[in-house]
Amino acid sequence: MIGYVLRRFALLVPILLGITFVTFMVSRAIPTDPVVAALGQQAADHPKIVASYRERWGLNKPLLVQYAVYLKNLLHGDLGESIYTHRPVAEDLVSYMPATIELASFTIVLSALISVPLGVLAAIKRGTFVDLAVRLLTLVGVAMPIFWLALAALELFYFRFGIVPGPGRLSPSLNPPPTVTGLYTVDSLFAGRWRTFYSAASHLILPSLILATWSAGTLTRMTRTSMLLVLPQSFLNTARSKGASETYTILRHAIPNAVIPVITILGLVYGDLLTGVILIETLFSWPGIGHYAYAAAIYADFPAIIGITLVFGVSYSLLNLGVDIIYAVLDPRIRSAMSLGRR
Amino acid sequence: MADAPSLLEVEDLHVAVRAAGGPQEVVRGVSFKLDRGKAIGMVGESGSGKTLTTSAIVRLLPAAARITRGSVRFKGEELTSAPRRRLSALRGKEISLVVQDSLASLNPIMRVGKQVREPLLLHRMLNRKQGTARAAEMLASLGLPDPMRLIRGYPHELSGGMRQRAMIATALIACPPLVIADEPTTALDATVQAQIMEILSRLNCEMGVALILVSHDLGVVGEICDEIAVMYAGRIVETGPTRAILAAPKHPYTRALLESMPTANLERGQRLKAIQGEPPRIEALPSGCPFSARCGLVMDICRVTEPQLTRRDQGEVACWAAEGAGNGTGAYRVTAPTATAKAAAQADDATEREDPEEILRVEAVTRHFRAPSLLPFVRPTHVHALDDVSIAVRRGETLGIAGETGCGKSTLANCVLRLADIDYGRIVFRGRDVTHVEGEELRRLRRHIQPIFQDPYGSLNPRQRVRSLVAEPMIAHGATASESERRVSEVLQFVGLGTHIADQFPHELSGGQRQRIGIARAITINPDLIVADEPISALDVSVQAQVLNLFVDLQKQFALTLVFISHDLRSVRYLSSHVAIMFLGKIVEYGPSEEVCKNPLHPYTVALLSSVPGLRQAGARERIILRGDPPSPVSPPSGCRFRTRCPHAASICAELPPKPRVDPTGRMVACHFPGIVDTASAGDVKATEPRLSGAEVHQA
Repeated sequence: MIGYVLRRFALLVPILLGITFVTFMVSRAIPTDPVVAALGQQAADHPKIVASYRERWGLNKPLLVQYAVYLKNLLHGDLGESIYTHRPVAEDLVSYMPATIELASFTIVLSALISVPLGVLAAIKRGTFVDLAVRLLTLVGVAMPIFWLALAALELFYFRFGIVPGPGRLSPSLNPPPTVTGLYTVDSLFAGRWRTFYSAASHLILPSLILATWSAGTLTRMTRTSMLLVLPQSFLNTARSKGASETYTILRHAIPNAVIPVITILGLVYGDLLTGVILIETLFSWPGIGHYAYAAAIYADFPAIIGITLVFGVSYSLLNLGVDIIYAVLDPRIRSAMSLGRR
Repeated sequence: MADAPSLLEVEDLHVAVRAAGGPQEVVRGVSFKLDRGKAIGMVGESGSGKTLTTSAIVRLLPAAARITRGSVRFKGEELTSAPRRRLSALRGKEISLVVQDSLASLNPIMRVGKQVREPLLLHRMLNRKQGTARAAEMLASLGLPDPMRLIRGYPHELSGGMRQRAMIATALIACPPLVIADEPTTALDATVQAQIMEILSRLNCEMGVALILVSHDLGVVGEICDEIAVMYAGRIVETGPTRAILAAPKHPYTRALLESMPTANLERGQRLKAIQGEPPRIEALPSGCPFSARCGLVMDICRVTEPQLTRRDQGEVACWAAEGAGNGTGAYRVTAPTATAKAAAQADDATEREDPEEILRVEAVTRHFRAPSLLPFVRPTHVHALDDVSIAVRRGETLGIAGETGCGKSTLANCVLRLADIDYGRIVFRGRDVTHVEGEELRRLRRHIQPIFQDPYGSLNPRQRVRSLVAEPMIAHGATASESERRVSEVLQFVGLGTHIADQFPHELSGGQRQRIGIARAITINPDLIVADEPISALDVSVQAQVLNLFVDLQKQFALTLVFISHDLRSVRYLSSHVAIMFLGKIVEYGPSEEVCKNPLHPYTVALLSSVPGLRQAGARERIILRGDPPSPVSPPSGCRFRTRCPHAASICAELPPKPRVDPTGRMVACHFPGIVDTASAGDVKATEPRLSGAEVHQA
C-alpha cells in the first residue's frame, strides 16, 4: 500500500513536466506579444525599449533555453515574476489559492451532505413521488446557469432580505485572522476569534450553496444510480436473513458499498470547483485563484499563467491520487490488487 | 405427539409475481410439513418455483413477488401475516438461509468474521469480542484451516468452497432449529461439493438441525434428505420418503428426471430417457396437467384437469396415470443394455482396433498465462495453465476431459482450436504440424475443427437470425447460398429444431434451443473434429439429457470425432470412449473411459468419482472426501501437484513429480503409487474416511 502511494507520487513527476512543457510552449506560440501586453502599444513602438525589455526577461534566448531556465528556477520554488503584478508568481498563488480552496471545500462538503442522503432516498423509493421529486430537483440544479442563479440569489437574499452578508470573504469591519492555513474559517478558530469565524462562515454560505446546486445535482444522480446497482444484490438479502432490519441493512451494508463509486465523482467535482469558480469569484468579489487567472489571461501574464496551470495540474493529480487511496481504504478488493502488484 | 405442531408447516402457499399482463402465479399451492431434525429436499428445474417457495417461507421474496394465499406456520406461529419486526427476530436466530452464489451473497467490503458473527450481534446474544471468537470456532468446526486469519479476510480472498462454508457458519452460528439451503453446492467443484454435502449432512444428523435443501439435482438431494418433494411448474407433483421416490418414482416427471441422469450402470452409446421439450414457461401453462405436453403417459384427462396430490403408498403424487393402476412403471425404467446396443458397442471396439486415422495429437503442450497485473510497472506472475500435456484422438473416438475449475481443460480446448497460443510443444492435426499455422492456412484448418461453447447465449451474435448463424461457417468456407440454405434446414432438422426456427433471433430461443443451434453450427461443414467445452453445464437437467442424446446420435451417424470437456464426470463417462483426468494443468490419468471409471488408478480420479452421487457405486468402493481446495496454479506444490490433497501422499511425492506410466493397453497414470486405493489393503482405504471426518470433528 505504501509502496503503491510512493509509486503514484513518482508518477506525478513526468505528468508535471509534461504540463509545464506544454503550457510553456503554447504560451510562446500564441500570437499575443507579452511585450505589447506589458508595456502598452506606445512603448512597444520603440525598438530600444522592446529590446531592453526582452533582454531583462530573457525573451531573446532560444525557446528551449528559456524552458530550461524556467525549470531550474521552478526547482527552487521560483515560478518567475508576474508581468502584471510585479510580484513573484509563487507569492501570488499562495495569497490567492486559500480563498478558492476554502470555497471549494465548503461546497464539496455541503454537496456530499445533501446528495448522499437524497440519492439513497431516491433509490430506495424508486419510482415513487419522492424519487421523482429528487430527480427533478437535481435536473434543475444541473441545468440552471450558475451566473443567473448567483445574481438572483444575491438580489433576493442579500439586497432584499438581507439574511446573508454580501460579497467578499469577511465583513469590511473585521481584519483577517493571522495566516496559518490561509482559510479564514480555520485560522480564526486557531486564533480563537469567534466573530471573525462567524463572519467568514456566513460569507461562505451563499456562494457555496449556489455552487452546490450544480455539484450536488451531479452527485445525487450518481449516488442514486450507484445505490440502484447495490440494492438488488443478494448480500443485502443475506443481511436480512440474519435478522437485520431494513434500516440496518441499508445503513450498514448497502450505503458503504454504494458510496465507493461516488468518491470518484466527488474527486472530479472537487477538481472542477478548484479550477472553475471564476464566475462565482467574480460575482462575489472573492479574491481567489479564478480572479487571478482571469487577470493573468487578460494581460498575457505568462509566468502567472504557467504557474496557475501548474497549480491546477498538481491539484488534479493529487486529487486523483487521493481518490485512489480512499478507494483502496474503502474497498478491500482494490487493496489486494495493489498488494498483488507489489509482489 | 400427533397434536404437537411440526417445526414448519406450509399449507397451500401461493406466490404471484407482478407481470405485464397482471399478477402471475408462480407458486400454486405448495404444502408440506417438516419436523425437528428432519431434512426435506425440494427438487425441480428452473422456473419450478422452488426458490420462491423457500423465499416465501422467510418472507424474503423479490420486490415483484408476494404471497397471495396460504399459510406458513413455524412452531405454530403464522409467518405470512407476521409483522416485519417479528420476522427479523426469527430470521438468523430460528430460521437461517444458505444461498447459492456465495460471492454475491457476502458483503464484498466487510471482513468475513464480522459477517459470520453478525447474527449474534443482531439478536443481542453475544458481544463483539465473544461473537468473533464464536465465529472463529464455527469456521474451524466446518474444517476451515487457520480461522483466526480467515475472519480478518475479505470474501474475494476466499475460494468458493471456503466462502460457502463461511455462509453455512453464518447460518449456524445462532444455532437455529431450521436451515434452508438453496442450491448450496451448485457452481462448486465436485470434490468441494462433496465437502459441503458432508457438512450439511452432519449438521442434520449430528446437530439435529432441520433442513430444507433446494436443488435441481436429485442425486444431491437423495444423499441427505429423509423426504423429497419434486416441484414442477409451481406445484409439488410428488412427495414421499427419499428411498421410496428414488426406488419407485410414481410421477412420470420424477421418473424421467431420474432416468435423464447418466448413471453408472448405463452403457455408453445407449440413449438417455430424456424428457422431451423444455420446462414450461410459467406465464403460458397448458391447461390440465402442466407436464402433459412432455409426458409419455398422457391421457385425455391430463389435458383437461390438473391432478391433485393424492396419497399413494408412502408418498403423495399428482398424476392421473399413477392414479389409474400403477402400470407403465416398468415401461419407464431404463432397460438393461439390449443386444443391439451391445453389438454396437462391440462394433465400436472393433473399429477402434483397426487403428483408424489419428485426427489430433497434442504433444507435450505447455501454456503459461501471465496473471494480469492491474498496475503499471509490476512484473506479472506466471500461471501454469497447461504443463506438458499430451493427448491423441483417433477418428470416431470421443475423448472426455474432466477436471475441476482451473485444471486447464478450457485452455487445452482453446489451444486445440488455435484460439490460444502455446508456449512449448506441438499440435498435430491429421499428421500435419499446425502449431504455428497462420492466416489463410489457419482459416482452412478451422474448417475442419469446430467449437461448441458453454454459454449458448454469449456465443451467438444476438443480431443474427438463426438461419445466418447456422450458415455462417459454410459461407465463410465458400458455400453457395442455395447449398447453404438446403444444408441449414437439414441440420436444423437433425438437431431436433424445426426449420421454422430459422427466422428467429437467439434471444427468442430457450437455453436448450440455443445450444442446439451451437451444435448445428458446428456440424454444418462436416468437420473432422469437434471440440465441445462444457456444452451442457448451463442447461436444465432434463434438457442436458436431450443434448447428450444429440451427441450420441451424432457419434453414431457421422462417426463424429469429439473432444468433450466437462466438470461433470457423469456425462463425460457416458459420452466418451476415452477419458483424460486433469489436475492443475497436468493430465493425471488417461485411458478407456469404462476402464478408468471402473478401476481408477490415480487417487484424484478415485476422489472425483466418489464425489459424484450417481457414480459412486461404480467407481470407488469407499467415499473419499478431499480436504481443502485445489492449490493455486500460480505456485503449484513441489513434486506431485496433487500431493497436498492426496490421502496417500508420501515423502517422495513432495520431491519428484511422478512420471507418467503407460501400460500396454495405452492407459496412462501419473502417480508414484498408482492404484494404491485398489491394491493397498482394504483397511488402508477405510482408514481414509474416519481420519478425515475425525479430524474435522476434533477441531469442532
